[in-house]
Order: sequence, then structure tokens, then C-alpha cells
Amino acid sequence: MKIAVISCIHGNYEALEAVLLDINRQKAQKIYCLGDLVGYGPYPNAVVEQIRSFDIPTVQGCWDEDIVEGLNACECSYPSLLAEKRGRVAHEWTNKEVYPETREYLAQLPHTLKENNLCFVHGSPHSNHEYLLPEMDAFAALERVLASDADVLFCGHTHIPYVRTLDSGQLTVKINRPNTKEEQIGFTTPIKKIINVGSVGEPRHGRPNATYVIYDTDTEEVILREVKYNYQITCAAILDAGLPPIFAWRLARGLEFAEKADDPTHVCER
Amino acid sequence: MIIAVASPTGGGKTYWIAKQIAETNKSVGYFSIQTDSVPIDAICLQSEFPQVQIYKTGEEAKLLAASDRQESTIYIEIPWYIDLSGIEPLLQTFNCHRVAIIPTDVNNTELQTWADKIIPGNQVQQQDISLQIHRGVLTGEILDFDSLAVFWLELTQGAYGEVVRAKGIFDLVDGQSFYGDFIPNKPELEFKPLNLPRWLNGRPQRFSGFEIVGKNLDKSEIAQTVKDCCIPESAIDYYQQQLKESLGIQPEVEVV
Repeated sequence: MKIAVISCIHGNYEALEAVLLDINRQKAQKIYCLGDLVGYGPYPNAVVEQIRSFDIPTVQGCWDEDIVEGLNACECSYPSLLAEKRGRVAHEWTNKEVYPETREYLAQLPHTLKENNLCFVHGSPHSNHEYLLPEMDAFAALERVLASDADVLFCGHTHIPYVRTLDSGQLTVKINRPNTKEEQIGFTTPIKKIINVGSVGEPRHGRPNATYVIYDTDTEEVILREVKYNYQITCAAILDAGLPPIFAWRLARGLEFAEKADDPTHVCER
Repeated sequence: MIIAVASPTGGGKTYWIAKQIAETNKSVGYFSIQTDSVPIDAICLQSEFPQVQIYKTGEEAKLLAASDRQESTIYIEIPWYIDLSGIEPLLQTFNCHRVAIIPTDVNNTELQTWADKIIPGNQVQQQDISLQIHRGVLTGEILDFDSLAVFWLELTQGAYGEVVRAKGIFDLVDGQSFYGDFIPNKPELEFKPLNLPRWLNGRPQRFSGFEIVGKNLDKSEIAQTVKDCCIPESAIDYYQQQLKESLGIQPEVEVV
């Protein structure tokens, strides 16, 4: 079965529409969404409405959680003071803008979704604020996939798509219990995959195009899709909404609005 | 000997002067006209060459007297926005040798007529009357480097208007003073630490600030973004005490 996995729409309705059209053309049979439906972009309610109307199984992203629970992320959310200030402006704007039914929908989203040997999360199985960066230590990366009890872990959050295959490895665990002989257990881990699907509405790959992933559950083929859309409509809407003009400038260049994961060793303490 | 140096903005005046200073054993003086409030080039030169005597506006007589002494060279840097005919009487008083630093593809400029000697300089935008200068003095402010790097990228890529030249000195959280420099099409390090002592006792009481040259500059947005890069008052002491501990400097103890 061909599935489409999308993430990080960030209130960018134009980008979402273009991606849904492309998914239709690719003849995907099911769509999953990895959250961050809102934040930074000018159309949080319209995006949520569209996701709901297509009945797309969706997990909660860090921005969705912040809109429900308020800002309480640990330091990993923002790499700089400037990013934090911009993030707060976007949060306050979105918080005022969302309808009660939008907030209710975001509140009931699960943190993970499982479908056979596939697991869908926003950041990592441990936290939707944690970044699974491609250069993350292999052991830590493997631990995240094993924690999901799946063979393929789909994530977003970093906004840069990648596929990482974790080859089978031999793990040895030593167990020391009081008054018993040390026990040693060895096991071989099967091949696991992490697939980051990028971002529909806030790309960070240097171009404004939306990205998502098509995955074939039979052949295990992964196709990273990059979709052009009229980003200038979103940029104009950002300005009309009274959001900071720098958001429009950055969106047009495929730069992140404010957040950027730059420390692969950081473990989220949220 | 007094040497007056002029060029279009970003042409390489200070770079050329620094090169001359590095190659001489003579005593050297430096005077940059009308930059006393934003002495970025003077501070950079003195950081690299502490022996250089810096002259300010009002010290012209002292400068002239120093130039009379043998084995002494004094460089007068003339910013691009200064009217050459307006400072002609001053230059005649100094009896200067005149050096113009001009891109190789530029001809028939006022600078070529003015100069005794022409040095090939950086490829820069032709002088344009619509160019604006935006200056900001940040003395006492401490910036977060990651924020500054984001701002600098946005600034130099045109987020706040078309920028043809930007330079600045910024005090950072680690106590160091950094020099930022941007000239389009000139690939080099954007920031370098200046050879100045770390400032780890409150707000730095030394110059920091910036100068941006360009068109349609959004000055209020630039000011707001720089403000957003600054460390809040409440956090300065915390960061400085942490740094002192990590650098092995005895933290200040409050006696109650």
C-alpha cells in the first residue's frame, strides 16, 4: 500500500493544498500527518479544518501542544534569543487566532500512532520537542526506534527530510543483581529505519517548496517529494495578518522562521 | 608624512592602511574623518596594531606636529560620503600625499582626478547618491552570538533593505568584542574576535556599534532586531559569573 506522510504545516494553507493535490496525483491510499498544524503561518484554523475534513490520522506536534498547554518547552526549542522572541510573537498571535474547536481538536491528538510495523511521531517517541537529527549518535537513534516498537519510525520537527537506515547490530547487555552471578544477554537488532518527512509549510532546505514522503509498505520504497506552490500568497497573508514581515522573507527563501535544531546530542527535558 | 586615503564604500581603505602598517617599522598615526561617534575602523586597527596613535576630531594640530617628526607616517581615512572639495582646505594644510583605492573597472571618477596614486581595490557598487547610512551605537549592550549571526545573515541578504556595506563591533556574552564585516561578493570570515580584554564585569564600558550602507533600509526593524539580540539585564550577571568560573577567574563575592 502506498501511503503519504506529511508534517509541520504551520498554518500554511497554500502549501497544504498543493501537497494534497500532489498526493492525489501520486495515488497514495492513505495520508498520515505528524503534527505542527499551527504556528508561524497565517491560517491555523483553515489548516486544521482541512486536515479534519480529510479525516487524516494526525499526531500532536510541539506547536499544537504549546497552543493547548502554553509555552513550557525546555531550551532545545530555540537556538537563540532572537529565535525565542520571534517564537513567542508567533505563539501569542496563534493563541489569539485559533477557534475553540481548533484548540479542542489539537488537544485530543495522540503523541504517537502505530500501524503494523510503522510508527508515526512528531519529534521522537519520547517527546514531540526532541529533534531526531540525521547525525544523531547511532545507538541513541536505534534506541528511539526500539522505543517505538516499530521497524520504521516516521518523524518531522527538523523540517529537513532524510532517510536513515540503522543496520542490524549486535547488542550485549550485562545484568548485575545482588547475590547473583553476572548475567550477559546478547541480541541482534533487525534493520530499522528513521524517515523524516520534512515540512509542508515551513521548509528549511533553502527553497520555499513543500516536502513530504510517499512510502510503499510492500516494497519499502521511500520517495521524498518536493512540491512547488505559490508561496507568495502565504507571504502576503503573513503581512496582512500582522505577523512579523521577517517570517515572509524567510519563508520565501526556504529558511526556518525561528527554530533550528543544532545540537544532536541534546535530550529534551520537557 | 601624511597620507590621505579615499575610496568608494567597501573599497578597502582600512584594509590597505592595515597592510601598510604591518610592513613598516615607523611610528604610525591614524585619523578617520567624521567617525568619532562610530570609530569602528580605528578600534579594529588599534586592536591589531596597539602601537598606532589614534587621532580624533580637534586633534588636527597634534597630528600635524607628529607628522613633522621624522620616521612617522599618519594615515587620514576619508569616508566615501565626505565631500572631497569640502575637506580640500584641511588636506592642503596637511600637505598630504593622496591615495585612492578604486575598483579596476571604474574610470573617470572624481577620485581619479583627486589622487596622486591609485591602488586597485575591491569590486564594489558604484557611488550612488541614493545610498543611505544607518549607524547605531550599542555601547553597554551584550549580544547573544547565535542571534547576532541570524540577524547578520538576514541583514546582508537583504531582509531589511539592500545592503552594500555593513560593519560593526559587538560585545558578546563570553566577554569578547567581535568585529563583523560585510562587503558583497567578498568571501571572508564574517566575524572575528578583536584583540581586546574580555569584559566580564557588568555592561562593557567601551564602544560597540554598527554602520550599514545601503538603499531602502528599514531602520526601525533593524533597531528592533538588534534589540532582540541583546541579553536582558537580569541575565548578564548570571552569564558573567558562569564564565568567570569556567575560565578560572575568581567570581565576585558579595560581602553581606
